[in-house]
Amino acid sequence: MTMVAAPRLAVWAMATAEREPSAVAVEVVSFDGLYALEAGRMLRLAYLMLGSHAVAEEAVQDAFAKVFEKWDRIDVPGAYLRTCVVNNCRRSMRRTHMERDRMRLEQETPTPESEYLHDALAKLSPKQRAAIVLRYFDDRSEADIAEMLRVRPGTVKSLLSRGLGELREVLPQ
Amino acid sequence: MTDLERRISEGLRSMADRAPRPPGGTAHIAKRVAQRRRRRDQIRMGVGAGTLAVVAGIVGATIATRGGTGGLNPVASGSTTVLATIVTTAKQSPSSSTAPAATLGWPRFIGPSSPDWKLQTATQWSAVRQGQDAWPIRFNRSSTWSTGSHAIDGPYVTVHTDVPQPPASALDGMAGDRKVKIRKLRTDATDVWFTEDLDGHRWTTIVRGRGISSAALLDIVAKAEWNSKTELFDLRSVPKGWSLDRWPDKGEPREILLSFERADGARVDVLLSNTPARLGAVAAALSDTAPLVPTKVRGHDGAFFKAEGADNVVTILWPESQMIVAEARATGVSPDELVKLLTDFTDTSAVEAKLQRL
Repeated sequence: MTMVAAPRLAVWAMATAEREPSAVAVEVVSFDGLYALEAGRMLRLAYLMLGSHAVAEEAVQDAFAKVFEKWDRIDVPGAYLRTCVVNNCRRSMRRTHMERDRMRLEQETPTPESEYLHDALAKLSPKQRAAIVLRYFDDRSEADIAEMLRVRPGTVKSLLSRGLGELREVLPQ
Repeated sequence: MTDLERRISEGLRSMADRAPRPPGGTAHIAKRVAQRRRRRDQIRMGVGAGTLAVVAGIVGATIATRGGTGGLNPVASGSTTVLATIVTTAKQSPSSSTAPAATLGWPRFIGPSSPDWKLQTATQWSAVRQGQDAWPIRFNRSSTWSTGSHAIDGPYVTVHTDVPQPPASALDGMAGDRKVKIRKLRTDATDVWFTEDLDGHRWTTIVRGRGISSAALLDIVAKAEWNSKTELFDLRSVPKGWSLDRWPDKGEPREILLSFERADGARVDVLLSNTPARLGAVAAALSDTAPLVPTKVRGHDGAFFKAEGADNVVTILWPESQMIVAEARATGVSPDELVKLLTDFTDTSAVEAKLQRL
């Protein structure tokens, strides 16, 4: 089934392509195009934030649904989508606080390094975790992260610094 | 980038590679968009646990509700406020219909000790919520819950509407340490999940999605075989600071569902609302089974509705209810007495007839 939404100029697609060479840049993109381009990455982003495949899928699908509904009013769908995903993830993290003790990434065959990492991520606060994932997985600038998390840039620095500090303690030297 | 940052970046990418692949195509998104729209429509309808309680009450199910805009009691917990009320059922003694609370030593009723009716308000629920930790569900922030001590002995059914999480995870959380099976019942309007313990006792029911038609609610009530204590939840956020230990101030966007039981066992629900949409929602919720007709209370026309054929439900538009409240205040009528006044024109025979039809 193809989602019927008006095609639009995809500034975000160009930006995405710059960051992600594998992504195909197109000038005019439909909603389907946005999905094809971003769904995988958003799912990975949500997964890293939430540590759960099922909840990550919920967050991403809901974000895409929101984007579709506002398609005609959004200037930069990719950015809007990412913000929706981040917000959904944060809401979900807050909702359960991911019950930190219980939260573990659903890894089936973890490598030693990532095993340490996902344990360490689970111990971070939701906001720290979001900042770390956005910075070191999604390659977002501190300014971008501040905007998405609706905090000051200085707060992002602090979140990253403390998050890194906690990760340093856990990761093997 | 420091060595640590590089390792973290590589580690995250390595982990992300194991993330699931998104479904191909956007059909599932289309479905979700439709769900969201439907849900929004239904939110406007305002049908949730409160309505379910009313509907269930009409069909004679044994229902205790906690939550819903039809509820009475704000139980503030973190950023979330949960309204609570207990709705007893016609021809059901208070002790049996509120057995879960009784088990916990809950003082079931407050208000005057008038022998012919008992008014239940939220105040006691607050006391229960604040004073004991044995209630099976603890709410925490942002409308979620975790499993409590399950001090209640025996099957105990919870029903959730407006469930934000994937049902499986919610059920898992609800089930606690018990070994349960998860069963799914699909109705025409929504999905319902049950957990059952190994003895076949049903513990948890989740009705996913806020707002379902009253027909579907009836269907759920019928299929759920309410043979045990049942609790309904509605986790939508509601304004804080509301308490039924006082009348609402003018202009407060509040609703009150007064639910009480008369000596003859009939239950009477009186919904006071300042929201025409809520009236419409209640009317719509009841319209499948009982068209609402304007009625009259103490000379005030037009703003009073009762369900035809289910005369125990009365809905009152707020300005008029405020008039009544003001009038009651001016004349020294207590809230309890006011409720009694409102019950004077109820007719339980219609409820009986409805029960028989069902």
